[in-house]
Amino acid sequence: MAGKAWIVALSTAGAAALLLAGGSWAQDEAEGAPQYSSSGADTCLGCHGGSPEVDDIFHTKHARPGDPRAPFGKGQLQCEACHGPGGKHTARVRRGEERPPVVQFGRDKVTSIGEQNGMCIGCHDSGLPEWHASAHDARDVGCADCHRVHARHDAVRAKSTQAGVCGTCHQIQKGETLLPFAHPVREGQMACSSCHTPHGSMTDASLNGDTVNETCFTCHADKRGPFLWEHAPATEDCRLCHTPHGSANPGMLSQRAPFLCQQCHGRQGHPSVPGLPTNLPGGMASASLLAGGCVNCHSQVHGSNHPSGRKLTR
Amino acid sequence: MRHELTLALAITAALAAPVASANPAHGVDTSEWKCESCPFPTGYASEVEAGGLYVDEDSAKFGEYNGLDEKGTHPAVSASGGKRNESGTFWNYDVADLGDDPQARVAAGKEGRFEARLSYDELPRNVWDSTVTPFSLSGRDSLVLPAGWVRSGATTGMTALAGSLAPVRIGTERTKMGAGLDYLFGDRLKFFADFSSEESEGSRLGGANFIMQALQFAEPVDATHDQFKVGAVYTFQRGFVRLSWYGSEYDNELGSVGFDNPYLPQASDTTRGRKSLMPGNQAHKLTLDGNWRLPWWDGVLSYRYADGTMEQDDLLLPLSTSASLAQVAALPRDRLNGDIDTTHYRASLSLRPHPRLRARVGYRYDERDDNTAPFSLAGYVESDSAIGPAASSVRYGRERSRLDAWGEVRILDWLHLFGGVEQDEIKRGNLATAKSEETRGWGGLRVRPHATVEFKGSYGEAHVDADGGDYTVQAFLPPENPLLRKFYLTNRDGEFAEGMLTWTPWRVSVALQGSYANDEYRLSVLGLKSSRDYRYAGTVSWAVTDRVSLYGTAGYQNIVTRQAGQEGLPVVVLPWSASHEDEFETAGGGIQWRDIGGKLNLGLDYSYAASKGRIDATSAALGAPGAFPMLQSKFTSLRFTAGYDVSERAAVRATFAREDYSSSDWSLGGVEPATVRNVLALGADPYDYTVNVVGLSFRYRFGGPSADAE
Repeated sequence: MAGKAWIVALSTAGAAALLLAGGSWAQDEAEGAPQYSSSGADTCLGCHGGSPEVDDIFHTKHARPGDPRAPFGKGQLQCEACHGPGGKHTARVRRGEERPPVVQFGRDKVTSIGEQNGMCIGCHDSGLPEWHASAHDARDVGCADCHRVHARHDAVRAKSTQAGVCGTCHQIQKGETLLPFAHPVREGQMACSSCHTPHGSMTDASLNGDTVNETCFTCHADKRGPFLWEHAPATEDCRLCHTPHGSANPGMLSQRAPFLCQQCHGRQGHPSVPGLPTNLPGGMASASLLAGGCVNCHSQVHGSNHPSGRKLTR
Repeated sequence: MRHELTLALAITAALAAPVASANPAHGVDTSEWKCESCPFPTGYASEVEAGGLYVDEDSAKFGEYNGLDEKGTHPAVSASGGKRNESGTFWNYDVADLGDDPQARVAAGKEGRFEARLSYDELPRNVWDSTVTPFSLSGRDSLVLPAGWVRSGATTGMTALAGSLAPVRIGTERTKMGAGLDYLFGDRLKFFADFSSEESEGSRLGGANFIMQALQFAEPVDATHDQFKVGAVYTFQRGFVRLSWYGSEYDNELGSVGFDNPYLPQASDTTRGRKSLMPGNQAHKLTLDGNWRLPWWDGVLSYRYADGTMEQDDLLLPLSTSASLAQVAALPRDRLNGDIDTTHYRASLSLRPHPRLRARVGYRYDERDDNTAPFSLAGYVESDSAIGPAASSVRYGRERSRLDAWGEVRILDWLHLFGGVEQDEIKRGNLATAKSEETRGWGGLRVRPHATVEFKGSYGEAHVDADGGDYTVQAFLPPENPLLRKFYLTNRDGEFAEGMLTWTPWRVSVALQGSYANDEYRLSVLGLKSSRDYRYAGTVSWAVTDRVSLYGTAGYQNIVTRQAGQEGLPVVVLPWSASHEDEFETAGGGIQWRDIGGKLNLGLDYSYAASKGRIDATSAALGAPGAFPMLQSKFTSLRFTAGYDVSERAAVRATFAREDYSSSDWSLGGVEPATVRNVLALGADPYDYTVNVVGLSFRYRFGGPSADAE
């Protein structure tokens, strides 16, 4: 009993030590009240205004004075809503003295990614419910790595240009969109966010839907069923047969018929017969290998609603 | 012990208090912050671009998703604009690709109060233009053969086929209309509603059979998919809560398609067949989600609960087109009345107890509960033609629960270590294994030895145990080979790794990425036995000056799978094996040169992609390894754009694009409608095209500030 007590006590003491470090760290932040600039955006624009890189923010939703939630909404902190208190930054500095920085956004800035993201999340929390559970957060991806907040048109928010932004890091996936059979991402008709939520989700591959299939059904509702005759893997996970980023096989299948089907089916009779090169045109041209392969007959692989569709042929 | 505990907890509480109160308040009087130098746009401003494109070849594949599938001139018009008033009311619009692939969006509202949206979007899908068929569509859902058709037991005997073939395009046109509304009650409560209706029309590649004789045809498509989502979100100081209702209704105007039997009927009156098409169905889901940012340790607790249904009650077809065979058994009811309940809930907690330590735990549960009443038949009719045995519809329910944990320690500013574990359990009904448990673990590091260099790498393993290695072959006839295990239901051992290196010296950026995954199905004698894939890619970009930038990129992917089978014939059993190796290469590069002489912008992009697929099948019947002809595709794209600013408001843009695509595919190449004796095919050719596109457009900007005003 005493041993257990010591384990608990030591654990607590360890936690306390961590807290102590955290507490002292937090205390640094709390030193004095934050000092803001004297005139808000008018102070900032006095030095930084006049260039599209800065002024274009006034063409975005952040700069809507009528929106009380926006940084430029009535009573809000304007530039300092995102860049933090600028009192020290705007104060007079001695010759040769470096001007204290405000919160800066982007890679290789003095502001940590965590602090940058904290500024965004402070307002956008309801759009980022599971950011803290995201791979992007775990890998220290900053909001500004993807978003251009000051730009009139944020490329990552447009369907036609988003994949180019995502592909900066996800190069392999971007390359897959060039495969012969792929979703229309290259053509700008779909965005990565049509399926994925880059702001995080506990779902597989950070998908928008609660499951893989629910995500797919958003567009492919015809495959949803329920069917009278179900195809078990199709009810579980579309990726068991399909590779959604692209494939060299028609229908974005992970492999060709009959081999894909024979990974699960090998019953006595024709399902067990392999496809062979001798079954190509010029030889014993085979129905299970050519044209649609197995789906020449079993055309209802996603499920059939015909009372005689047990073998998914009707 | 009680004393020690009390003391420790008191210390913890005492330490936690200042941390909890460390959050700074933003007490500042902004009433004098006039924002007088803020250039808020007011008034009307718009931009219109009008021109045309000339496409020099017909190609369904080139125009697969852009609508430029036909040779000739195509209009290209786009526009955007809007107006904002001092009062905060606004409207704006965006129109793109008016012509072959139009998209439009209009929004209006009052800042901080409401926004209403309308949208329109067309998505073409051109699949094949080299297909031919003897069938023609009669009415909306009936495919008929021409008068004088000569039936035969094999395609080679269909003597009227050659003279009956007519081109048929395979493809659809989707038209989607949407409407949405956001309404704010104060600055914390928002109501939202979105609705969309998508119509699909055209044809898809369909097929059917009469026992062992198959036919392909252009299956008509005419369906509507309506979706809506309504809800409200309330934001409070440390989080939010949201309640929403999602609905989806898929309505297929065509419940089935009928088709003439091109073969000699195997039953006296099966001169026609009929297959069901995707049934109309609907789904609904009520969701409650939100998060709470804890006052200590940068903690966040998120949660989500979703409860839904999926239903389908389309009228069932008769068992057969044959009047006599249709009587072989009585349907237990005239509709399936399919009813599936779905339940999802999850929660995740992340903490940062120290600036150098992060941790997260999460739990997720997904359930698919099929409540559809049993549906059993004393017999059915196979392919409209032959009586089959008694059969019962098998329903598949599923429960999946996952527990995961992740942590990161920032040992040094330049060295971070991380790792995670995951326990994933799936319980399934009516399948070969009732429960599978996957355990995954991984770890990695992030190294940043210099401000411009960063490497991230990780390695992990996964092990799936399904029913302790037991596998129950299901009782169907003919029986499944007991040595074959479906890959997603059996044991699996896997390993995976990935790495990424970024280097950003000066104006150059280098990013290299690689991944590796290997899965072994050790208990599978037959079926999928192993799968391995590795991929790598790299990009170099160089901002030569503020106006000139270059990039180059390349990637490679290699996937190898191995499987085995047994040809089970009544007398002999012949083993076989097959290996697949797919390779995929990409490369590209480009240059952007902006603001040349303050007037001219140039851009050049090149992309290359090639795939190779090697399949080797070894069969005791063949006696030696048999290599299939290589599956190949090669794609190159060159795109050049030049824009010239004629004035502050006017610009002209010229584009030239060239795409080459060639492929060889033994499943299509040389497969004419009658090549396979028991498949009346559509005769699609492997994709092969060279298309040049030239475009010229003029852009003009209306309203807004001019250079003089600025």
